[in-house]
Amino acid sequence: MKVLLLLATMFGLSFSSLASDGSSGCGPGWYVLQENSLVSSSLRATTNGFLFPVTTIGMTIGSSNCTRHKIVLKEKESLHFVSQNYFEFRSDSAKGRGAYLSALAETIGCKKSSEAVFNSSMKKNYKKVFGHKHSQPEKVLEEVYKIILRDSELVQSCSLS
Amino acid sequence: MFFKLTLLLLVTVSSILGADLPSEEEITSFATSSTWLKLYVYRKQSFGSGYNSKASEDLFFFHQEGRTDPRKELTQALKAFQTNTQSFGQRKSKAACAFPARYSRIKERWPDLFPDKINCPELESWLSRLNTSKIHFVYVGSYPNNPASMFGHTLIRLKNESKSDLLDYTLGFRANVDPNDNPITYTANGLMGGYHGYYHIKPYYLNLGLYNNSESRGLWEYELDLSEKEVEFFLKHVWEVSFNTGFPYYFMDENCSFYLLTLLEATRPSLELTSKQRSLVYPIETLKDAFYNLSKEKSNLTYRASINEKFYKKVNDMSILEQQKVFDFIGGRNKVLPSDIRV
Repeated sequence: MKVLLLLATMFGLSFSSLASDGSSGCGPGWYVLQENSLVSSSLRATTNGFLFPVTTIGMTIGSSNCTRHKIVLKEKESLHFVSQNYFEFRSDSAKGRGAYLSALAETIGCKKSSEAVFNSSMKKNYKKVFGHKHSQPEKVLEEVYKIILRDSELVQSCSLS
Repeated sequence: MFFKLTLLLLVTVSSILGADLPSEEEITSFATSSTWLKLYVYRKQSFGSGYNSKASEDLFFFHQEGRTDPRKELTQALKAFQTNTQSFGQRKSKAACAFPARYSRIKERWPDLFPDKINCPELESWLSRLNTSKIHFVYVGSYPNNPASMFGHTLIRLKNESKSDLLDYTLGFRANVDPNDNPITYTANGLMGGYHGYYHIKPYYLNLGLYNNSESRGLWEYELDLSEKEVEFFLKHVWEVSFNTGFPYYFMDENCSFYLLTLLEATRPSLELTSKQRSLVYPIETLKDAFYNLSKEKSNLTYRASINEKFYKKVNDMSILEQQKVFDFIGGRNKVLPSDIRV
């Protein structure tokens, strides 16, 4: 019993920070997270979804009960990817390589064979694509499409679905 | 003992005779087999010889007494799979489409009772969208800024080999917590099972963004040694459980890890991952269990360093001059933890 009490106190202390923070250990709920209570964690302020809270775009949510199947609609994959991985994608674009750049190309339907061309075009056009400090994901994606449309190899390789 | 022997004899005799419909003995024997019990997370009750499943929803069961009676449940399941009405489960579909893993176990046991192919368009499109070829068990390290995460966290990654890693999906089990609960209610509910947990599927990049980058936690991934058939069964089981029920959530033991392991146990009934009596189920312990049982080689392990680790690794690899430039750029050396810089 003593042990239980001790544990309860321990948890009371540790989880109390969690109840308001919603940080993700094994116990806490997604619900808190969903509410974007990002205040107490300074690190969290850089969470991409915080700047672009569009987590629900194009989800095929098979929800029954409280289950959430957040499977992104195929035609919304690129937009969802850019908005949720904005900083990682921007950083990869500046470098002209990286997993986030490759993954985005994949969501647009670009073939692996044109990866090098895509990467270097993104690097070359970095300023155009990310011109403003916080460009909207839609705008960023539009610029990426323009790059593809202007390049004879990319326009062949990517399906722009 | 005698009863069991008699039962075994009867089962053997009836299978030799090759009866068309399952006999009472066959039903009893299958209903108490680990294959069937693990599909429902049935547990032996502490008193008496009965069983109990803690699934939160009644529609998870075919029989109204199915929660405590695996045999009645199996009998009713056999009936349900023979009817073609679209009225089963949360999504109101055919029994075999609502509960495809149960169907496939029953079909394995009594292959001649049911047609070979049943069309389940919703399930098929879900499976093809996920296009899972491998299952990875993911352990998320603890979060330095929050003691609540001291246990770490576990996830299952559904690896689609035809796509880049980032575009995979992950499966997790989380408690639905009322954000208005005060810390005391929260703790009490968490310890006593006052919350229910549910399964969630979401893009892997959302997890990486949250854990790796936002919270700066390392991720360990183990590829599980499951056959193609087992992977398919696993997904069908995820489908039937996640859409139809949750389970009471206990922070200490029956937590995020526990209910991922029960899925693996149902997939390979010979596995015993959750039956050990433990007062605490740490995600790291469950990971060890799953790893030793389901992962052959060490090479199946990958580690994804947190954003902090990557940053400090880079800085530590620099010359002193380069490091100085970094410190100038970020606004001084005091912005980084002295212990993380080696020079």
